[in-house]
Parts: sequence; structure tokens; C-alpha cells
Amino acid sequence: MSESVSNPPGRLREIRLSGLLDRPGSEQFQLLTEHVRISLGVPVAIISVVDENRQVFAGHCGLPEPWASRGETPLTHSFCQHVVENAEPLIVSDANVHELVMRNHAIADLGVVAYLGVPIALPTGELAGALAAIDTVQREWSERDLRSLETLAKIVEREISVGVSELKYRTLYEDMQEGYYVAGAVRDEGGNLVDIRFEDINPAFERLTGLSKQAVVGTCLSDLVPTAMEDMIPAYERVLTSGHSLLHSNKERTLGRWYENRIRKLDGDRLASLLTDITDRKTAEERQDLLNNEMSHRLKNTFAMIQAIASQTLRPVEDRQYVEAFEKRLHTLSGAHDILLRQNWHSASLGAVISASMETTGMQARLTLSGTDVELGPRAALSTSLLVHELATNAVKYGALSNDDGIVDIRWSTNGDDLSLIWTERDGPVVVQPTAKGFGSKLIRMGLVGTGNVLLSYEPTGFSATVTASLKQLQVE
Amino acid sequence: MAQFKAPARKVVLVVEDEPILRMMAIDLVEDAGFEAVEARSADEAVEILEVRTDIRIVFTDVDMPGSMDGLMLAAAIRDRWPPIEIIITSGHRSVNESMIPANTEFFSKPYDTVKVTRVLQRMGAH
Repeated sequence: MSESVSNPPGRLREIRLSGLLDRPGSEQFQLLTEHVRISLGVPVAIISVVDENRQVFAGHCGLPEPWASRGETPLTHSFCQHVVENAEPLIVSDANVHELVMRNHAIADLGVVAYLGVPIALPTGELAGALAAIDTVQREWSERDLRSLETLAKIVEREISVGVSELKYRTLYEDMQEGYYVAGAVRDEGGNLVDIRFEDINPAFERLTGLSKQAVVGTCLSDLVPTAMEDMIPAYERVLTSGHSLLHSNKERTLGRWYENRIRKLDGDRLASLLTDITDRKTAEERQDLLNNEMSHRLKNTFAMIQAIASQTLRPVEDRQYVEAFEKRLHTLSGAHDILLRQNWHSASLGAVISASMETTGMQARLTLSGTDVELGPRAALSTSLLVHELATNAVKYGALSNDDGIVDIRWSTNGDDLSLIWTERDGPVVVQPTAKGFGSKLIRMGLVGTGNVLLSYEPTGFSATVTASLKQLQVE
Repeated sequence: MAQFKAPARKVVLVVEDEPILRMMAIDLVEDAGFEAVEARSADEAVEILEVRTDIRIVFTDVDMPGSMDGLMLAAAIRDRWPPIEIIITSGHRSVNESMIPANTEFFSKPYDTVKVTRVLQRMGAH
């Protein structure tokens, strides 16, 4: 007789995870063994789960005491271990003369003489144990007995798989870090959602909120956390009305924490929600915002200092246009920094960059901007703002913005990886191609990302510029 | 001091703790055709306002050391010297709108000197 069953790796682990060892006396299994007893006409039927040193009865019927009460036996008393070991039915007509089991203690202690056992598998494929019919007298098992037992074994397996998946979800529900709650809608006579009543919560919910299950279940939100009502009820109503899930963050004043609710609709005017404590994340975000604000403030003060130093240094300069040009370029750069800082220096929308760069002209009413949403990286945001500023400055000095009714149309579009931006001036004075090659025209010829790709056209009807760049380059961090 | 003669130019009180920025602001005010009086803090500005009755416009920064900042100064001016016009400038991206008293102009730093000049002249015109 073997001391213990040879166990393929993972078999014992899967058995323990299945919960079969912890749930003695499932009613379903009890009924199934009863059915085996009747249909095969035997005094004893068992569903055994073969553990490392013992077999545990998931269901049994007709076992003598003390085994019936104990619900398990040592492996010294197990025929079923051989079913698992050989992964095939074990058919014994007379145990006293059967080589494999003749020295098994079950013969003396349990009165086993005839045994018919078939394997039972877990949903993962590992064998859990056996479904067995046992007789206390010699018996020749028929083909029909075997088929009958095998069919019932399939039912046992189905039952185990339901139990395992239920257990899996229950374990997930009980062990997960996220809080979970189920609640029913409370409505007034007009059908408006006025409150929710908690039906169930998991342990994590208790942990996250500090509220006990006893206090929560059956209680309405208005009694539990009245301060959350104003914020949460509209969110619940949206989910219940639309049927769409919703991610909703709220700062709970009573509890002093930030929570994230992932709310979804259940049947019958009920809802369920995952609850996560995001206080740490929010605190970090707030700190980051504060830091960005401070950085922005310092940067702007630095720009102001540069402006002041330049204005003092260049005070004696007679030709003021250069001083003004410098100041305006500085402004443009500062404006682009502002836009970038709004999004933590990641990106800036092209439309916002253009608008800000045109602001110094004070002639926004004579501009039309159109284009899809394009995000620029920090470098492109700065160079684009300078380019647009120079185009605007020229328009104000010589182009469509130099008279009373000229207009500037700026439109951009993308095609694959290419962005093209077209600047068109109309109804301005007659266009003359400039001869100067100053810094302004250099800035324009550098294009959106400093690589050129600028086409300037001095048609008599109006100046136009077509600037192209690759989106990839525009979005470089 | 020409106590008995009305000043030829209208007076602007520049309130700014940073000397270089104050210097530029004073130049800007003078170039715009005003007489500039300077204060290094809001407290000092109040002291000046209490003795000088000829100040028409106050051009102030927000963040300054002392018992009050530029916004509190603006509120105090609205309360005690309602006719005085106010221009506020700050390096903060945005200043809470509700903190800025009525009839007050706000400029983010660095400010556009041309625009500030224009506002000063408009305020000085009436």
C-alpha cells in the first residue's frame, strides 16, 4: 500500500484553493451520494477529496460512525487515493483478494468489501478525488453501474466548478483592496432620486471609510454621510438614468478623504460601486499644482526682471522700435510659457499658442482661427509662438492689420504625420516684398520647429505663408 | 515743496518691492506724462496716501512683504479713497477675480508697457 498519493505539481494547491476541504456537508453533494445509493443499490456512497494525508468527504451517505461525524479518514483508509493516482476508475469486487487494496484499513474499520470509484476533476483539470459506491458484501459491478457513476461524477464536477467560481468571486470581494458597495435607489413620489440605501459592503469598504458593516447595511446615505449627498446623488442619478458606468471623484468632508467611485447600474433600480481612497494621489497632485504655480510665478517675475533690465539698459537708445520689438518678443515667450505651465509643461494646444501670440496686436476681432486640436510639445510651443508673433507684427506694420479693414485667416490641418498651417492676409494695402533681412524674418524662416519648411507668398491681394512640420517633431517633449 | 501751487502733472503712486521693477515702473509712469511717487510696500503706500492728497492713480504689485499685500491695499483704497484709480500687476497666472475691487485694471507680469501706458493715460484723462 502506498503511503501517500503521488501529486502532480499544483494539485494540492488547487484543491486547497477550491474550498472543497473547508465546506463539509454541501447539501447538493449529500443528495448526489443519496442518489448513488439508490440507483446502484449500495449501502454507502461517498464523494471524497484526496488531500495530502487524508481524504475529506465533500458528501457522504451511509458511512458508519465515527467516520460519518468526522467527515474524513486518514489515507490508510482510502481506496479513492488509487483512483486519483491512476486517474482511472477503480473496480473492486472483493477487497480481501484485490492486490491493490487487500491491506487497506477501510476493510476492517469501514466494512468495505466491494468498491466502485470514478475520478472527479477540478475545473483546472487536476483530480480532486473520487465519487464512489461501496458495498459491505462481495459484488460484481456491471457496465451500467460504472456508466451511471460516471454520469453522476460529471454532475459533481459541474457542482464543484460552480462552487469554485463562486468562491473565487467571494474571495475577490472579501480580499480586494477596493471598497465595494451595492445600494438601492430611494425615490420621492415624483420619481426623483433622493437618497440611496446600502444593501451590502465588503471589508475594504469598512476599512476605507471607517464605517462598520452593521452601521452601513440598511442605512441611507443621508443618515450615514449627509455631506456626501449634494455631490453623490446627481452622479448616482446619471448612472441610473443613462445605464452608463461613471467614474466620479469626491472629497468627503466628514471623513476628510478623497474617494473615487466607479459606479455602475444593477438591475431593479440598484447600483454597485467600487470605492478607492485617492487621498494620497490628490495630495500629490495638489502639491504638484502648488509647485507649478510657484514655478510659474518665479518665471514670470524673472521675465519681468529681464524686461526691466532691458528697459533700463536700452533707455538711451534713440530708435525705440528695436526696444519695443524686444519687449514684445519677450512677452510672446512669456505667454507661451504660461500656456505650457497650465498643462504641467507637457504640452500646449496650437490654437491657444496662436491666440496668445496674437494678443499683443490687440486686433483679435480681425483674425479667424480654425483647425483641429493639435498639442505641441514645449519646444515647438515656444518656437511656434515666436513665429506667429513675427507674422502678426509684420501684418500690423505692413500687412492686412496695418489698415482699417484687412483681415488675417489662420487655418491648420493634419495629414498623417504632417501638419500644415496657412496664414492668409486679405483686404490689406498693396503688398510689397520686403527687402530687410532682420531677426524677425529669420524667425519666420525657421518655421514651426526650427527646420524651415516655410513658403512665403507676396501676392498683390495679400501676403500668405504656408508652414509645414511633422507632428512627431512638434510633439517632442 | 510747491505747496501752494497745483502740480503740473498728475501723480501716480508706484508700489513695488523689487527695486529694478520699481525703477522700470517709475520710468513708465514718467514717460506717460505723470509724476511718480514710490513706495516699497503696501504699508508705506498707505502712509503716503494718508499725507498726500494729490495722488490720482495707484500702480501696485500684489506680492510684497509687510502687513498687507497689493490686493488688500487696493481694497483699502476703495474704502478710504474711492476716487483713486488702481492698476494691479502680479506674477501669478491668475488672481482671484473676486479679490480685485471694481474699476481696477489688472496686468499679468511681465506687463505690456504700451498697454499699461494706454490705461494710465485713460485714467489720467478724467
